[in-house]
Amino acid sequence: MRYKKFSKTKVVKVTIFMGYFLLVIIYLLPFIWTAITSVKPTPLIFASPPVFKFQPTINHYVRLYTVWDFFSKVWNSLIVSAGTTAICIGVGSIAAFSLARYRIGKDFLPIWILSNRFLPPVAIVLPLFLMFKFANLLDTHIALILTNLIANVPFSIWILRGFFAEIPHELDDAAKVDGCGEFMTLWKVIFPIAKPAIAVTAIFIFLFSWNEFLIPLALSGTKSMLVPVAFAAFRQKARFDWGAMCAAAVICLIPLGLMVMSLQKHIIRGMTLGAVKE
Amino acid sequence: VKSQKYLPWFMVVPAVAILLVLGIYPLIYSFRLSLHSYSLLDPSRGINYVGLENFRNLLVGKQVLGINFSESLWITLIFGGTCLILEVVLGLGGAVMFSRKPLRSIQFLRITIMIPMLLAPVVVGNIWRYMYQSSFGLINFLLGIVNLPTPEWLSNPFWSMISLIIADIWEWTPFSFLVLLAAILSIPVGQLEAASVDGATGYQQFLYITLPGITGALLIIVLIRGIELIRIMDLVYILTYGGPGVKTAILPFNAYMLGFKYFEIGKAAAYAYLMVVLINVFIVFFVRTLRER
Repeated sequence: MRYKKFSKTKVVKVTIFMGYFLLVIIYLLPFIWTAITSVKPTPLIFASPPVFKFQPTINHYVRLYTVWDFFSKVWNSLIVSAGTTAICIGVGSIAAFSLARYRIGKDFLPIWILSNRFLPPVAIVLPLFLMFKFANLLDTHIALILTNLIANVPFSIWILRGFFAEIPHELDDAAKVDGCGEFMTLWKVIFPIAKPAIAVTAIFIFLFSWNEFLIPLALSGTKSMLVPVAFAAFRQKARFDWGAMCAAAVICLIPLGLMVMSLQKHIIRGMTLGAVKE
Repeated sequence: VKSQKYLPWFMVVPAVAILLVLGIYPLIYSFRLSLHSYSLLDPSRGINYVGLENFRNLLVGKQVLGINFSESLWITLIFGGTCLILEVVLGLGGAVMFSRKPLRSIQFLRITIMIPMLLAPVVVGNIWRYMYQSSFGLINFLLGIVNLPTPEWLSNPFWSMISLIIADIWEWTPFSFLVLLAAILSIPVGQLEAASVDGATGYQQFLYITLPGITGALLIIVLIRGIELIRIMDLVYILTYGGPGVKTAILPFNAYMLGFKYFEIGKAAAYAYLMVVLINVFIVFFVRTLRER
């Protein structure tokens, strides 16, 4: 009996260990393969079976700069994501504070705000295109920042509302007794306490806005092209530039890896809009 | 003071204004467009009011871009449904497995699997597109080593759908896995121990303690992923471009093509509008089942 139990737990342990290993391979292999290709000479990329012994080259990274002008797209994406993040945190934290403390609009207002996050981009991209065409803002950073707000303002409000609600009321009551107004309370009491929460929210918004694809595809031209749109463009040439694509992917992956590490405690909360906490 | 009373309302005004102007107004504008025949490529045709004709054409099965709406809806449901089911099942399996014996080294796995869902879907799509290449791709190389068939992943009508599903599952199973793992770990250990003392088998423990404890998390996963699978087309655009032919032309992909490749503004707006209705039906249906619980 005792022996049987022992063997059972051992089987379980081995299964878990193997599952762990398999998962790590499944999730790391594509990235390793991409990183290898990014330094592989172009003719060898098309070799079948794949070649693993070669003289590494930085040609693809150079070509990203000379042929694809990739870094100007990185710059565009940085501007648009930073702008989106700043506006979302500013507008979102004020609204979130109000919703967390006063329950205005009952349940309707927060749910209506949230529903905007789930608007299908294809349903609004045509009117947005015509609106920005009318305003002469097509192919500008402003247009892309504004369109990114639709999904990210609701996100910032929901996440920050959750974080603010966890801060005890007594703190802002004390501030009010000392004569602080709402904005003063938000600035002097809530912000300092919620700094880590705001940082997490900001990183999420930055990433979401960095990843946005469909609307930038429709609204940006050569001047304001963003990184994801540039990725789609690798496919349009007669011969696909796999080397440059992989180099670009590596450039995106390195900062992302760092951000994920900084987010990991909050990732579940962020991805479920605050519905599930760890 | 009166102004103090209304201050909480003023604080939400900027956010609400942004959403009204950039979310709701376009939605109304889009409905107006859907009632017109309007082509940006052929402005001489003018903007003519056609009533509900665009909608009628879609619903009676008139073909758009070589595929009618209901066929595309079917493709969307097959793609979305399969992904959703497999992501939940695999995620649940993984979560149950790794919740039994908390491995110290799970931290490394957690970070690794978080990357795909925060990486731009376009980048994920390109990496998979590269691996799916039939002659020099990694996947067919690995399949060849173990003597398995090596299909033309992206150009075969059957395998192109499978390719999409595999890539989506790779990207999004970590989401359900991590959410469910968090939910399972938040179930008080005492409950499971008590059940175990009372002689409940592992299966019974799962059915009567774990499952009820994670229902909320499961519903959230289905809701969020369900909506995302209907509304987003990034992966399809990059991996298969709707092809071969129209075999993977999901709804948002067609709506986008209609608007921005053929510039049939009126038809595209109607197409997208039907999608919005569909998503709302899904949400209402879902929230109703949620309420009943």
